[in-house]
Parts: sequence; C-alpha cells; structure tokens
Amino acid sequence: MYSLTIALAKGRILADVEALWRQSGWPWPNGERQLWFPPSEERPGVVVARGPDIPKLVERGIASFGIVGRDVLEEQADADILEVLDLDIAPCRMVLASLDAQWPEGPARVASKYPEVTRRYFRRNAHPVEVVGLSGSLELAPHIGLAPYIVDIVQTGRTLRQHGLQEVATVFHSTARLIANPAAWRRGGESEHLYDKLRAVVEERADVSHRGGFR
Amino acid sequence: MDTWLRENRQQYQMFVGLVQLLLNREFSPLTTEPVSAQAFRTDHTEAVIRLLNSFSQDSISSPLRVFSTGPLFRPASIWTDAIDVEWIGPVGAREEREVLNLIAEMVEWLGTYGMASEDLTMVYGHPGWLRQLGATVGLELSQIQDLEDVLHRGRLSALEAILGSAPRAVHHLFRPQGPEAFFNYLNQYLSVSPVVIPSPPWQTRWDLSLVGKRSYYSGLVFNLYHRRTGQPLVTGGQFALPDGGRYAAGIGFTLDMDACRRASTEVMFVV
Repeated sequence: MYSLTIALAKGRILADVEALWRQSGWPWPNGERQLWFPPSEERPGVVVARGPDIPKLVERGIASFGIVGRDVLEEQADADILEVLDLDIAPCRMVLASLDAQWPEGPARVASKYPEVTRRYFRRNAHPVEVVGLSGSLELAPHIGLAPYIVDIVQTGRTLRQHGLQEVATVFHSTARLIANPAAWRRGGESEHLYDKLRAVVEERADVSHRGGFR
Repeated sequence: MDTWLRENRQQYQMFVGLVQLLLNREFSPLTTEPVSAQAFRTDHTEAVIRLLNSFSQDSISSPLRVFSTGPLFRPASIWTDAIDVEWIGPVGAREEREVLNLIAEMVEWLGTYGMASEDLTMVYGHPGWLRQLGATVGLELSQIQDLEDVLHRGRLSALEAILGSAPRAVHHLFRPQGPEAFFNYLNQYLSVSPVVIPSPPWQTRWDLSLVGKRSYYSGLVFNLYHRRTGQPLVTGGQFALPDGGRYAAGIGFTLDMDACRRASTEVMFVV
C-alpha cells in the first residue's frame, strides 16, 4: 500500500510522464477531469496541477514528490525542495529570441513568463535589462512594440518561426525533473522505494537509447 | 473560529513552555530586529552575532548561551514564529552533545502535546567532513565548491556529474541512511565518529547532502523531521561567520513553532 503522493505538472510534460509512469509498473490513474487521485495499493497518489504550482505543493509537503520542468525550477530557485533526479523526458530549451537574431545594443527590454530567469541571465552577461512580465502570447511582444526580445521555452522552434522570430542565444537546456520534499526524502522508507523505481526506469531508457545509437 | 483559536492557544502554550525550559537552563533572552536592510528577517543567528559584537569583550563571559524569539520570513511571503537558541564559543564534541541533549529535552517536553518519538527523525550532515572527503578522494578545490553550491541549492541530480569517477561508496554518502551504514562508507575515507547522545527521542539518519541552508555552517548540521509535517521542526548546526567579529562561532538551532504545532495535533490542550 502506497501512502505518498506525487504532484505532476499539467501540459506538455504529462504525456511523457505517463509513459515513464507506466514503464515503472504503476497503473496510470484515469479520470476525465479528476486532478487528485489518492494513494492506492498499486501506485502512489497523484495530484495534477499547473507547473509553477508544483514546487509549492512539494515544499509545503502536500505532495512528497513532484515532476516538473527545469524551467519552472530555475524560475523558483528559492523554493525549499530537493531536485533529486533528471528524468530525461520532455526536453526543451529556454531561449532569447528577437526579430533580427542580434544581441541587444544597450539596455534590453525583454518580455518573459520567466522574469527571474531573464534577470539572472542578463546579470550573468553583465548586460542591463528591463523585464516585462507576461503570462502568455510572448511571440506577439516584438511585433506590437511591447519588447523587442523575448525569453521563452522552445521545443522545436516552430512557434518562433511562425511568428518571424529567431533565436539569439540558448539560456539553458531543460528536461523534466523529479523533485522531493526534504522531510519526505530524508525520512527514507517509501520515498526511497519511489525514487529507486523511477531511477531504474530512467537508467533502463538511457541504456536502450544508448544501445540504439550504435546500431 | 474555535479551532483556530484553540490551535493558536496550543502554539502559544508550547512557546511559553519551551521558553521557560530555556530560562531554567540559564539561557539568556535577547531581542533582535525583525527587519534589516529593508528586508524581513530570515535568520536570527547573524542578528544575534551583530548584537553581541556591540558589547565590549570584558563584559561578556564565554561560552554565551542566549536565545531570541520572533517571526522568521521565507520566500513567497511565508513566515513562522520561531525560537532561536545559540551557544556562542568554541565547539567540540562536548558542546555538540550538550546542544543535542537540550533539543532532546525540548522534544520530550513537546511529547506532552502528542509528539511521539517514533514519528521523529533527526538527520545529520557535516559540511566540514564533506570538504575533507572531497580532498581525500581527489576533488579539486573548485569541484568541492561546486559540490557545496549544488547541495545548498538542493540540486542533488547534479551530484553524479561532480563526483564523476569517485568510488561508489562516496556516492552512497549523499543518500539518507542509518548511522551504521553511513559510517561504514565514510570511515573508508575519514577517521571520524558520530556525536552520540544516550537514548535520543528520535530515529537517527545521516546524509552528507544535508549542508544547512546557510553558507556559515562549518561542522555538524541537523534537521529534525516529523512524519506529519513537510517542514523541519528544528534546523541548526555548528557555524563560523566569516568577518563575524569576536563572537562569530558557535552552535545553534531554530525551532519552527508552526511546524511544531502541526506535528502535535493529537492533544489539543495541556493545562
């Protein structure tokens, strides 16, 4: 009987998580619009939530583990959580993009859903920046005069191209990560079992992918 | 509202009892500013050290045993009432034991509120041993600094890359485990032994990935967890503040009163 709960990020990550979850031997919880599935005999409990809320659910101990993109973790770097495993799924990149693909001349105005990531990136590059916080439709920002630059995640780059935008630089590569509440992680017991199970699947997949590469 | 008032009353009773216990053990209360540099207080220790250094050396006898109370703020506007206890002065095995015994005494007192020892786990780490171990297994100074950096940020998934080809026994030390297994691994590289107190009211685990949230921790660090709470009840350890003045080193801990209350839901009243 499981007693712990894992919080899963909605959206682009969830399909990849489902495959990983099934490979671990746990039945995938089915329920049309259900967002919470209590722990059962066969699998841990599941909470499905928005990506940016996952670190908070884990930090507060509502869920002992969470699966969320590195992009969210970089934005919420102060959260008191442990990032315990790179699941190597849902790959994407955080990029700086503009209409002309040129590094900004002088102070940069940048629209982003990731203001902390953006500020940190420009600080690291010793370049002055003004961040315009947006919650969506970033690709419009350079066209409507809101900001000539955007910082956002891309998977294939198709959305950028559709909007006439070009990459200036990659800020970092992102994959989904398993995060843990420090109390649940360090008490051990069931949390070790969950971690070992998911780690075994990740290693098995890496092994298969590695062998495939030499065919 | 009745429940809310009752919980507040319970937390206040806990607070008063713990403060009385510290007074009985001759710890002296002092007050620290809840704000500094236009930011809310996130830590008592540095404020306590600043305060003590404002006195002349002649007027203070060592070791100093003090405590400070009041809210601590965390990111995302979360705050908790806290009791911060500091033992200022040179720290060896005897002082470590004294402080852990004091925590054990406080926890046993909290047992009055339904906190059972089988629900409590004390996890120890040791940044000092971490640095020694890194040097012993041949890590460069910059790699040891990277190691400390990722541990402070909680990025355990980056450990493999930094530890690289270090023996598997070294990798094992960064997962929580019982003292016997931990020291079996650690003693292959370092001749050190755990601090031991008789019959502690908690289960004990060791984990070198625990380095404390603050960069000033230099030796033994510890977090006390309860099965019902996602936050530690107690955090602390041995510290040495760089440029901290005359009273820059010691050992201390903070009790999170909010976490203590949430861990004690079984008994709502003690009169």
